[in-house]
Amino acid sequence: MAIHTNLYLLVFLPVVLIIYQLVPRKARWGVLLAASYALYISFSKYLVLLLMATAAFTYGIGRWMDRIGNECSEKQKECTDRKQKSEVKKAFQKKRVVALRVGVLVLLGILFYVNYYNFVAQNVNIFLGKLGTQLPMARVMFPMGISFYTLEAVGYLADVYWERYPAEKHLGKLALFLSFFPQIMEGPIARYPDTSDALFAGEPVKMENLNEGFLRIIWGLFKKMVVSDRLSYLTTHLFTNYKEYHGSFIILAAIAYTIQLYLEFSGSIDIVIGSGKLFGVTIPENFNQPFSAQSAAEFWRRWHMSLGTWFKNYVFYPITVSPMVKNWNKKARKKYGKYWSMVGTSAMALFPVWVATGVWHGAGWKYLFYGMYYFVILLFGVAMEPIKEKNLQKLGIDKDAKWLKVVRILKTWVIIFTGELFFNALNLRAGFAMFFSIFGNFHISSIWKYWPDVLTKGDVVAVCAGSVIVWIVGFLKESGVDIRGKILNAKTPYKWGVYYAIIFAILIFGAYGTGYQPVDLIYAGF
Amino acid sequence: MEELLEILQDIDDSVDYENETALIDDHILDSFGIITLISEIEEHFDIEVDAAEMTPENFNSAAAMWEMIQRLQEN
Amino acid sequence: MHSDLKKNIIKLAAFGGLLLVILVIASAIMTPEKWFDENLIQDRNSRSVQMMEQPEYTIDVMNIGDSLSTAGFTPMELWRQQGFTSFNIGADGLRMAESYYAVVEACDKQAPKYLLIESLYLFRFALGQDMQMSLSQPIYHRSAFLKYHNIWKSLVEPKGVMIYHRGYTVNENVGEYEGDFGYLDLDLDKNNRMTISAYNSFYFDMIKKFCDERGIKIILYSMPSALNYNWERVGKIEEFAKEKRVEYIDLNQIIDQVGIDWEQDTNDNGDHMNLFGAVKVTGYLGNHLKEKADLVDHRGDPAYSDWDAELIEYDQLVEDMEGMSFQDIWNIRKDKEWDEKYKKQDSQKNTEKTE
Repeated sequence: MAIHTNLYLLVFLPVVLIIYQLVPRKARWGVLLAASYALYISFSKYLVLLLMATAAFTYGIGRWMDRIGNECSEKQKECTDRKQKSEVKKAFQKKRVVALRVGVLVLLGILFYVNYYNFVAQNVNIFLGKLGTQLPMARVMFPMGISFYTLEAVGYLADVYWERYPAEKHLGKLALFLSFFPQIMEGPIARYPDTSDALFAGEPVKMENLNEGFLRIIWGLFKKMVVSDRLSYLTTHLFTNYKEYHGSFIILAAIAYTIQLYLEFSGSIDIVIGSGKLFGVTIPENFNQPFSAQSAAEFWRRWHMSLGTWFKNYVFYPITVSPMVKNWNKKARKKYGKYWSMVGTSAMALFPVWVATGVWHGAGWKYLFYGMYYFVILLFGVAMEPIKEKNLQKLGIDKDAKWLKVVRILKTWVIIFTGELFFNALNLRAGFAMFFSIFGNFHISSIWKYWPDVLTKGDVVAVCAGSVIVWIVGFLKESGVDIRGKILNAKTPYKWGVYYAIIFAILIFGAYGTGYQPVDLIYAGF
Repeated sequence: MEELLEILQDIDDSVDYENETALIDDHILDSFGIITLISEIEEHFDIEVDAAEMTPENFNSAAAMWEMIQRLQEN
Repeated sequence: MHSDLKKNIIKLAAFGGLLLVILVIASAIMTPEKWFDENLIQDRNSRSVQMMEQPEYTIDVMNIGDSLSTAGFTPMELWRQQGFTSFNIGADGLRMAESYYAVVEACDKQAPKYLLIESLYLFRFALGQDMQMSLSQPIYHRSAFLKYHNIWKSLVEPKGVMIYHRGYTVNENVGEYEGDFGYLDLDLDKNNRMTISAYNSFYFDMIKKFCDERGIKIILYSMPSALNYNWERVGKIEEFAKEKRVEYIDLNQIIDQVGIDWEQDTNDNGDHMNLFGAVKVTGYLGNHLKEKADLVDHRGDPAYSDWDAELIEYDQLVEDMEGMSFQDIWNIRKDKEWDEKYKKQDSQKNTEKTE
C-alpha cells in the first residue's frame, strides 16, 4: 500500500487518524507504531521482523553506550584532578567506541548484504571464473525502506556516541522513530530529535494540522498524478528504446526524466510530510527549490536534503576531523600551502561521500558513475572557487549580477540533466551511448515529426500546464512569498476554493483510470 | 576573539561575523569553509576539534565558536 | 472544548459533503447517453460506452473476458450465421472487479440470455492492484465523472475511436504459431499463475448471483490460445466450473472440431485469434447456442435492420483491411482518404440512433 494509492489516502489514513484521536493520549504512540508495522506487513510479512530486530538492536547498543558512560561518570567522581578525569574518560571512550563500531558495522553490514552482495559477487566472479571458482549468489528479499531506516539508526548511534543526547530508554519510542509509516517508503531521513518527541507526545488531532497536512498531501498528489506519472510513459519509452533515438530526443529524455523525478519525489515527500502533519509531527523537508541552485554544490543542498545532511554529518565531517586526515592536512599545509591542503582534504572527505551517495541509490556501475560524476564536479568547484573570484574581480564583474545568476543557473541545469541521463539509463553503457548520440543527428524539428505515440497532445498540454503551475509556485516561494501560509490563513471560501481546485485538477487531469497503468514510486526501491 | 575574527575574515570577508548568528543554518559558511576554519583554529589555538564538536550550535556564530575554543583549550 | 469539537466536525462534514455534491452533479452531467458524443471516449472505456448506446433490450448474448475474448469472438459473424445479437464487453488485461461492474453496467438496459465468460482472466490476480480496484471500481460505477475524466483529452485532440463492430475490431494480421500443436502438454512460464485465487472466486460468485437473479445463463469457455493454456490450467477451470455449477467449453481440446488452423488463424504466434480464427470460434459457439434452442433468430425483423446495415459495412471493412491489423489502422486513419470514408459512417451511425 504505497502512499499515493487510494487505499492509503481514502482508507488507511482516515482510519488511523480516527483511532488515534479516540484513544487516550498515552496510548497514541502505540497506535502509530501499530499502524506503521501494519503498513510494513502489507509489503512484506516476514521482513517486518528485520525492522523490529533493527530497532531492538539499535536500542541495545545505545543503552550499552550510556551504561559505559555512566560507569565513567561514577569513576570520575573518585578523581581528584582534571588530568585524572581526562584519563578515565579516554579509557571509557575506548569501550564506548567498541559499542559504536559493533552497532554501525552490523547495521551497515545488513544493508550492504541486502543491497550489494549480489552485485559485488557478480563482479568478483568475473575474476574468480578464471580461477575456476565462483561465489554463490544470495537469494535476498528486499526489505522496504532499509536504506532509510538503517541510516536513521546509524545516525542515532553516532549522536549518542558523541553525547548529543542520552540514549533512548523507551524501546517503543525508538522503534516508532525508525518505522513511522509516512517515512518508511521514501524518507526523509530524520535525526532522532527531529521527530521522536512529537511522535511520542500523542498530541490530539488539531484543525490547523489537518488543514496544513491536507493541503500538503493534495499538492503532492497533483505534482505526481498530473505531471510526473504522464512523463513516466514518455521517459520509459525513450530510455528503453534509446537505440532508436538521437540528438534532440535524448536531451528531451534527460529533461523530461529530471522533471518527472523531481515532481514525483518531491510530490511523494509532500504526501509524507503532510501525513506527518496530520498527527502533529513535523517531518524535516527534503527539497528547497533545487532548480534555483547556482552551482552543483548548492543543488545538493536543496535536493534530497535529508540524505545530503546525513552524509555531511556522519561521513564528511567525521572524516575531515579524523586523525588521519588532520595529520595529512598539517603536513600538507606546510609543504603545499593552504590552498592545496584544503583541496586535498576536501577530496579525501568528498570521495567516500560520493561513492556512498552514488551506490546508495542502487547496486550498479551507473550509480557509482553518478556519484563519481558529482565528485569530480564538486571538487572542481572547490578548487576553482578562489580562482573564479579573482577573475571576476579582474574583469570588474559584480558577483551578484542578475545575468550572472542566470548563467550560473543554466550551467547548473546542464550538469543536473546530464547527471540524471546517466542515472536513469538502463545501464552505464546505455548512458554513454545516449550521451554521445546527442551530438549525432541533432534536429530539433524531429521532435515534432517523430513524436512517439505514448503521449497524446492532451497529455503534453497537461504536463506543460502542470509544470508551469509548479514552477510559478516555486518561484514565488523562492522570492519569499509564503503561499502555503496565505492559503491556510485565508477565509474559508477562498481556502476551500483552493482545495477544491487542486482536488478537481487531480480528479480530471490525473493520469489514472482506464488507459493508464499504475506508476510505481521511484525511490521506494532504495 | 580578535584572532578568530581575522581567520573568519580570511575565509570570507563579505560576512559580518560580529552580528551573524546563523552561519551554518543559512549556509553562509559551507562545508569547505568549515574545513579551512577548523585547520586554522586548530593551528592557532593549539586545540583538537573532534567529530563530537561538529554541531550547528558550535559554529553558528563567532561567539559560539569562541566558547568552543575556550572550552577545548581548558582540556 | 465540546463546542469546538462540534464546530470542527461540522466543518469537516461540510467540506466532504460539498465535495460529494459537486461530484454527484458532475457525474450526472457526464452520463454518456445524454450529453456527449460517444466518439469522444477514448481507450478502454470506448467499448463499454458503445455497449450502453445500444438500443434497449436488443442484445441476446454478451461476451466478456480479457483480450482473448475480444479478439476471438466477432458479433457480426454470429449475426450473419444465426441471427443472434451479441456484444463484446471485455477489455485488455481485464481484472475481476472491473468485470463485475462491466456486466452490471452492460445489463442496465439489456436482458441477455447468455453471458460468455472467457476463462483466462480468472487467473489474473495481484493483491495490491486488485485491492485498489476493489476500492476504485465501485466509485467509478457510481461516478461517471471520475470514470470518464479523461474526456478532456479528446477536446484537445479529437482522436478517432477504433472502429468497433459491436465490440470487435477487425484484425486480419497473420502471425503463424510455430510451436507444438500439443501445447496442452507443455509447461507455462513460471511467472504465470496456475490457481484461481479466492478473491477471483468471490467476484465470480457476485457475477453469478447477478446473472441468476436476471435469468442470464453463464457459459464459461477457453479461447484457443497455445500460449496461455495447458492441462494444469484447464484442469483448474474444470474444477472451478463444477464448483460454481456453470457450463464449461474448452475450445483447446476440440481444436479440430472448431477448425482452427494454427498457421492462419492467429494474429501473434499463438496468443490471440485473428479474424479468421474468430470467425471459426464464433461459428462453433453460434452452433452451440443454436442447439440450446432458446434464442431467437432476428434476421428479417425490421427492429434489427441496423444489424443488416452494419453487416454490409463490416464486410466492406474486412475487404478493405485485407492483410492489415487494427494497429495499422491508426496510421492509416492519419491518411485523409480512409478517415473521410469511415468518419462518414461513424456519424451516420449516430444520426440513425437519434431517429
